[in-house]
Amino acid sequence: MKSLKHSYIAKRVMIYVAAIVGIVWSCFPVYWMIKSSLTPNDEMYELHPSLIPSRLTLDHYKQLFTQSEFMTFFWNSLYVAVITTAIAIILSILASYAMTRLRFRGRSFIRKAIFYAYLLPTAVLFIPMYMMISKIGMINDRNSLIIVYQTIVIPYACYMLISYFAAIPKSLEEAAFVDGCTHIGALIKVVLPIAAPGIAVVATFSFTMSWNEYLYAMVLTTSPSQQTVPVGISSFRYSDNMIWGLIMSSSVIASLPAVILYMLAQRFMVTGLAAGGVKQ
Amino acid sequence: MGHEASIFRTERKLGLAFTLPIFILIFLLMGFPFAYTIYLSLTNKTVGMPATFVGLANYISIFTDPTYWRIVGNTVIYTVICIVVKLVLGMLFALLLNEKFHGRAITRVAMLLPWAIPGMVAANTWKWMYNDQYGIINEILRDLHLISTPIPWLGSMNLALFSVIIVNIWRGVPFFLFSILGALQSIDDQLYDAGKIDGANVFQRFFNITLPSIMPVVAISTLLSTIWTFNDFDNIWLITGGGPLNASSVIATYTYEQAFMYNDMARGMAVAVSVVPVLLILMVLVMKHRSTNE
Amino acid sequence: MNKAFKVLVCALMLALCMGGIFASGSAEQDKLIIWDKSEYVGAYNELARARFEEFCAANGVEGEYVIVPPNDLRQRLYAAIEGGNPPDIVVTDDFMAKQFAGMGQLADVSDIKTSLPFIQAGLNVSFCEDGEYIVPIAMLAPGLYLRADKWAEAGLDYPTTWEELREDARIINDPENDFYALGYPMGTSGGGDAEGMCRAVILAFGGVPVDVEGNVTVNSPETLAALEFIASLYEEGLCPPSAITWDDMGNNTAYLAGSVGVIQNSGSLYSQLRTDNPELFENTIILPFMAGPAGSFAPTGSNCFIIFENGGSVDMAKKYVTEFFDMDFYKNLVIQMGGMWQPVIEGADDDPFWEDPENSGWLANSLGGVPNTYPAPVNDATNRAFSEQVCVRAVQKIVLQGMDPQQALNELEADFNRILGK
Repeated sequence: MKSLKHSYIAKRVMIYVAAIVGIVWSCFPVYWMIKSSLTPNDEMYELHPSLIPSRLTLDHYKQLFTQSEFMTFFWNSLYVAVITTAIAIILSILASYAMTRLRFRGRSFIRKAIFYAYLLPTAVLFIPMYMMISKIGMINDRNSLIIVYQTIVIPYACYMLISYFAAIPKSLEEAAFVDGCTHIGALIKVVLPIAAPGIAVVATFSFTMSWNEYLYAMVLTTSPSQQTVPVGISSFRYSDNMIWGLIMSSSVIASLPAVILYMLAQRFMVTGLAAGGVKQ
Repeated sequence: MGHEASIFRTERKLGLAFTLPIFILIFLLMGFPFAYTIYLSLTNKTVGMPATFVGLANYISIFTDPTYWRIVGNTVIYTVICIVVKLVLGMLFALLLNEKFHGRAITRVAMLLPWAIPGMVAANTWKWMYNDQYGIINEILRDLHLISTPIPWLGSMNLALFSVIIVNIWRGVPFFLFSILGALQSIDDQLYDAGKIDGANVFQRFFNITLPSIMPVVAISTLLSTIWTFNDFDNIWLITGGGPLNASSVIATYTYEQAFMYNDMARGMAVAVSVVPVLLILMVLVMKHRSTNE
Repeated sequence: MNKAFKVLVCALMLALCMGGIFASGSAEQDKLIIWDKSEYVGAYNELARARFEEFCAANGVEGEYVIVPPNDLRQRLYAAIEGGNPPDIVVTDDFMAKQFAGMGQLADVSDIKTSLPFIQAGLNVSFCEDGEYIVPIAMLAPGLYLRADKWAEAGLDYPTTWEELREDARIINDPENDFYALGYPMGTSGGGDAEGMCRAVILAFGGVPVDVEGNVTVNSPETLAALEFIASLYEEGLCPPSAITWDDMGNNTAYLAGSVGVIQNSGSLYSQLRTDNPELFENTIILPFMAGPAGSFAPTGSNCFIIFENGGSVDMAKKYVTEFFDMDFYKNLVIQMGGMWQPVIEGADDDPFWEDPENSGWLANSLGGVPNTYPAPVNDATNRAFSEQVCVRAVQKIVLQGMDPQQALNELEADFNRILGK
């Protein structure tokens, strides 16, 4: 009995040690970013930076909000990320449902082929993509990003949704069919409610992907009125100076939407990803 | 029989209608850039100049260039180490968060943060922390008396690749962690109880019950993450630019450097296309494995 | 038949939808678009924007003023050129501009250059064999920043040659206390500082990378000595360990932090010191470039305008560029840059500002510099070699890979031949 208790305590200790290591490992860079964003300029380049700041300032934030066009970038990013996610999720739900539930010719081909969108890195694709977007007259238009980002988001969304849908027992829908439901009815009334947490997770990840994208955004948009946050942050690099205060404060703000979203989606995160494994 | 046939017809129509949008988006949108990239890799294209067809000259040139093979080596090291460590850490922390303990919710939120932070922001922050003079990493190591002179994390041939690998791992663990955690929580407790009754120890239970149950999720996550890691550009480009002397250069950054820093578009495109078959084989293998599993 | 028809209808509707989205984006063909360089001195972009908007209003054209960070310029411009959609005017460094000169993309600006009284240094720095495509805006003379207090502490005279600088550096150097004598960046990030420094040393030692006729003459004992000299600054630890990979901001921040004793920089830092760090400003002295057996050379760059033929508004763009040099505006603009810029127009230096000894030195430097590619013929190829930072790579190979200097020099020669041979 005693040894059992010992091993119980040992296990507890291990759990807490691991949890603390995990928290420090994950949060330290975030802490450092926030700390740097609050450090006055004359302390920024200290040779022996201290872990705990001695003086704090909101100057960088003041400058960010009053003297830069950051808020425009912010709203553009929000616009692009929300619409991209909405479109990608709707299209991916339809497609994933079709690929798991409906029998039709070309199904397995499409299912495999979606992933080929990831074969070449954006680092080479952006020039031909620019040429194409330019041909249809959408250069320097944030809406072009919504179209282009589908190629990044949809393959991921489909792949995750396919595994969620595949795990939902077909018997549930069959009951609905008996009640006279159509396929679309079954999708909306049966499949979606069960997969909802999973969809929330995929939507969150999709939002982050489009919120973070940098290369396409940099070449496809040129005026601040159309640019997104990552491009905005990179513009705080002047000819041969990096304005760390501005970079760090804008980074903190840029991280907020995704972090908030994750906090909200957090409780779905586990159940959502688990939905893929609903027992048959 | 007629009823069956009509259901089949409906399914066929609906199936096509539902998949058509993504088919159009993905294939039309990617088709041209893809084909154009392959075409350019067979020419002597530079920016602003017309392209002339040169056949396989670019491929011959890169395959006989030792630098290319070094970059391929870097890419393999980068991808493999990142994936293995992310998978192992993700799994360990998922097992941790699957236990009940005080502060679990907080830990879960904290461990999700790196994934929520934009990649570019993470790269900038790490670059700032790695700075050999004002960076906090060297300062902490010095305070702990582990080092006496600052370590040039990004400036040494031996360390640069390692340093960017750390950042990729930091960013990528949460993806594995949360995918695996989801799978873990869907395992039926009865399976474990049965295992205990059979006298299986912790490790036997892990390998006989846990691992098989989460395998499908692990496979998908690994495939996705492999592709993302393989094509990871922002992380390396923003932190080291692939330097010094290509020490931390991978295919994605080398391609970009050739095409846009040296304006040798055709060669850059050839570098990118040269690894497509490898990725293709990887995808086909995983997908084949996956469809047999289902 | 029926279902095939329905699928077809679906496809058509989707295509229409997408077409609709595509069509809603407006093509901006008639706008006058300028891509300006983001400068550290915030006043520049404000003044330039106001100037541009004023011009557009006065001429009844729609205009767009875009600030592009120098690091993003190349890829954006490449994409725009390939898409057949370049901006009308671009402001950039001359070594960058000269690479576009060989592409047949730029509009000839000889009319502007003859109609305005450019000084000889301005004409020199914007000259390019490929044609008259570049209008200089201002000189960016580099200077040598030196910590006078550290030299005084050690009781040393200010150095005048590279050898003396190294000897002094060995005395001043104090890595135990995080102070390094020299802060020369040697990274290949694409800026011009590192390559400029290498070229300055090579020329001072009597090496000639590419001669006046365009022959690659880099493989000489003089260049070898120069490369060994530069490498020794890193190998002996006279520069911070990471300086070998610093980009162009590394030296600025290190100097501002007080952790290096000597850097080479344009006047931008000087004006920043004056406002941000008066104490360090007091302890800083600006020296002429170090000399070597063959003399002293200061590769000097400039900011310049280029106009794209395909931009669609060449005449309006030229009008803007010409009016940009309106004396009152231009004189004030250059002064607002606080010594970082030096004028390229005859008479624009006629102001008390330039008589101040703190500023007159920069003016003198700007007149005595040599082009970055000196003494090679100025064309897109020689500037490409500068931009690819081939000499920096040679130094990195010696320092980081422990390569034999002669071997590194042989590879440097091969690099030059590859780039110029094209």
